[in-house]
Amino acid sequence: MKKRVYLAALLAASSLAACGGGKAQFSVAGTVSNLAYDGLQLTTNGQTLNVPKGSTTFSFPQTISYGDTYNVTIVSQPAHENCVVGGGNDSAGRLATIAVTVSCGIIGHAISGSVTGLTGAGLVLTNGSNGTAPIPATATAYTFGSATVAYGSTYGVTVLTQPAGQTCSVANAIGLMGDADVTNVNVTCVNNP
Amino acid sequence: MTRLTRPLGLALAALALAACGGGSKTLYIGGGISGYTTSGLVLINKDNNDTFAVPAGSQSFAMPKLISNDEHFDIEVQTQPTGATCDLLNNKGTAGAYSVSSVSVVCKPILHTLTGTISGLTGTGLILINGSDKQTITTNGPFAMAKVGETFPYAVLVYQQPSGQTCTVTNGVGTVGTTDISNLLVNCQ
Repeated sequence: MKKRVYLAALLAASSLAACGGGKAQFSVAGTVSNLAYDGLQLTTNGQTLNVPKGSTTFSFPQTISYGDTYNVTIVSQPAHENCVVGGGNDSAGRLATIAVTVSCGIIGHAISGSVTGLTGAGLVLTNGSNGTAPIPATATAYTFGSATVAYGSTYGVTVLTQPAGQTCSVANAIGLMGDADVTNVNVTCVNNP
Repeated sequence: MTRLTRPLGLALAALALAACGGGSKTLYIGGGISGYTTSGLVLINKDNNDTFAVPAGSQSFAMPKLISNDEHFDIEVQTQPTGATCDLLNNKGTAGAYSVSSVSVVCKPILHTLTGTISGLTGTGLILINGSDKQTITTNGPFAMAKVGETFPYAVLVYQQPSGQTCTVTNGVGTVGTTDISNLLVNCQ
């Protein structure tokens, strides 16, 4: 008889532990910004979560207990974007709520090309109002330095200033940015008559 | 007083003055600058007439004259930079025990309209671009691209020709000055 009582007490204790009695539970959650495309997958504490495009918040399905460590990381990036996690690694309960931030931005790609026949000084290319590329007289190639173009944006490169004594034209000047750098916006210069 | 004690007394008096902070200019006033890509910005501390010409492209500043604790300051824009308007935040106050680095200068480009006229358009599908700005054009008459900041270049090109026609842009490339651009001409044939 005594053995049965012990067993019952043990069962009761284990069922209490199973339903989390005594330890506060925390949901691993947060906010998402600028998520324009599908494909973002996050993970923490053995769980994975797909975050669809347009989401502004996320929350992992299973809660974790007070004192558990969480570490939210990116399993896969969304298409055409790069996301970074802020405040993703901490101990549950150190702060009142878990508030992870996931910040996303559309990836930019460079525009570049070859330069043929340039001997004059002063050539400047421009991609509309989105950036200029000054090209020295001896150049045989160029890149729009820091002014990358976001995936899905248009670009249109033209000569803003012709070099001294020459006229330059731009090939493959217009397009829609894809998922890779554009390397064929080529410039050809000829001497003025 | 002997010859020895007089200078000592003066030195002590000077030391006491410095210690109580009266007139000791040891604190600087400064802060961060955002969006300042051109040149010409001049800041002034109106309380001591201290001016500072901010070097082109700076992302932070400190006024040349140091101030004392308990001294009031009022940083304002004396001269706006080329092509932009700068506003100030946390720019008035009284210095405490520490230097002030919380003045914030926020500059934004002055925008100008980029407009023109379409003629001869009978087809559908004409799209004009200025870099990443994309405008679909459906009718003859006036049209507008997105506004462009002063000192910025622009290059309006045909991204897609209308069905059965070819359009050409005149006056499509230039640099925005201090006025709006309204002379873009797009003729379709």
